[in-house]
Amino acid sequence: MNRDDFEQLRRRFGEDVAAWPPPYRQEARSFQEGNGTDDDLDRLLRAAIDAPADERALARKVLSRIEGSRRPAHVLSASLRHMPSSAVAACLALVLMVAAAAGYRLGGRGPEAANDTLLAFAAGEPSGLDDIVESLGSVGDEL
Amino acid sequence: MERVQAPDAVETPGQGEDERLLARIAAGEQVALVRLIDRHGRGLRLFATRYLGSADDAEDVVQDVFVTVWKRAGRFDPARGRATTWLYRIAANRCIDMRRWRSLRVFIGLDEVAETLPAAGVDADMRLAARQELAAVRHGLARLPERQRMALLLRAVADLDVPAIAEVIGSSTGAVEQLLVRARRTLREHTTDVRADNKQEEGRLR
Repeated sequence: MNRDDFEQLRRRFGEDVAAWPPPYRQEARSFQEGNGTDDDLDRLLRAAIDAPADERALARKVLSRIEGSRRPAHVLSASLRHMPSSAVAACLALVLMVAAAAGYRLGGRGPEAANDTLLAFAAGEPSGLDDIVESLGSVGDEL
Repeated sequence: MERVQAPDAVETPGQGEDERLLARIAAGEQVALVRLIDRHGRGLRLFATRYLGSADDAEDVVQDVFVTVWKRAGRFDPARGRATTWLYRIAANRCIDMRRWRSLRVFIGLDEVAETLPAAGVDADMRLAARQELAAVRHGLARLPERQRMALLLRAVADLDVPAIAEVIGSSTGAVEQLLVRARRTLREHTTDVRADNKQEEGRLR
């Protein structure tokens, strides 16, 4: 640390060096005391591991992570909050009805259809999928 | 190394701004978080980088620390300890998690080596006499046992006293004093050895 560094940090963190955050505080003390303290090894260690830091870039990354982690839940909760409870219940009922109808439709095809499809897969003929695709399409049309 | 559970440190003067910032962060002020990052970002990064031996892992850890601070600032109790101790305890726990995760990846073969220390930098530094000592310290630090390294970094970088270090690493004050004594002794011996080797090398070249 030189005089310019010290003055710059003084403007950044205030006059009271004791209130500065580490490791600036120890570096300032070493600078003020002329490096003659008992903590010479610690000072040497700090000098050895010193590296440039970009706190602004770090802050940007942290804030973007906070915003990113907040967004999905925020959007969902905001949209649900603004919908009347009756509309939410209707949406849930619709989703359940579609799922039940699709399940019923596929289940209604009987075990033979599923066996045929599996056999077609095993034989390397994906044509058995057409029946399932057709039936799903008809469920969608009916709804 | 065990994760830390209960904080129990004494508040000291000169730490007021961090506590005030944490209170404002708990109230949802992002400006206060940015200020806290400005104050502690560098120290936490130095600590994590030198403990983990990887700048990339350290970057992840430091970001995690501040995201955790944002989420949990309301849980910080100034009556139970200093803000700096709280911050470095989060960082220490994240570092331990990161080290375990890296060891697991090495074990299952996803990573090739456990350590990603900048060994090439040591050789490069050794070329200049003025940097030999610093390079020797870095090299010696990387070779210290984990707990000794963590204790020494918490002392030198975070400026934590012995009770605070004990709180962060979940140990007794006596054990921390021992760790610091051993770490400093090993580091001094290592730097002395490196200096002697370098002098011998210089003598041979002449």
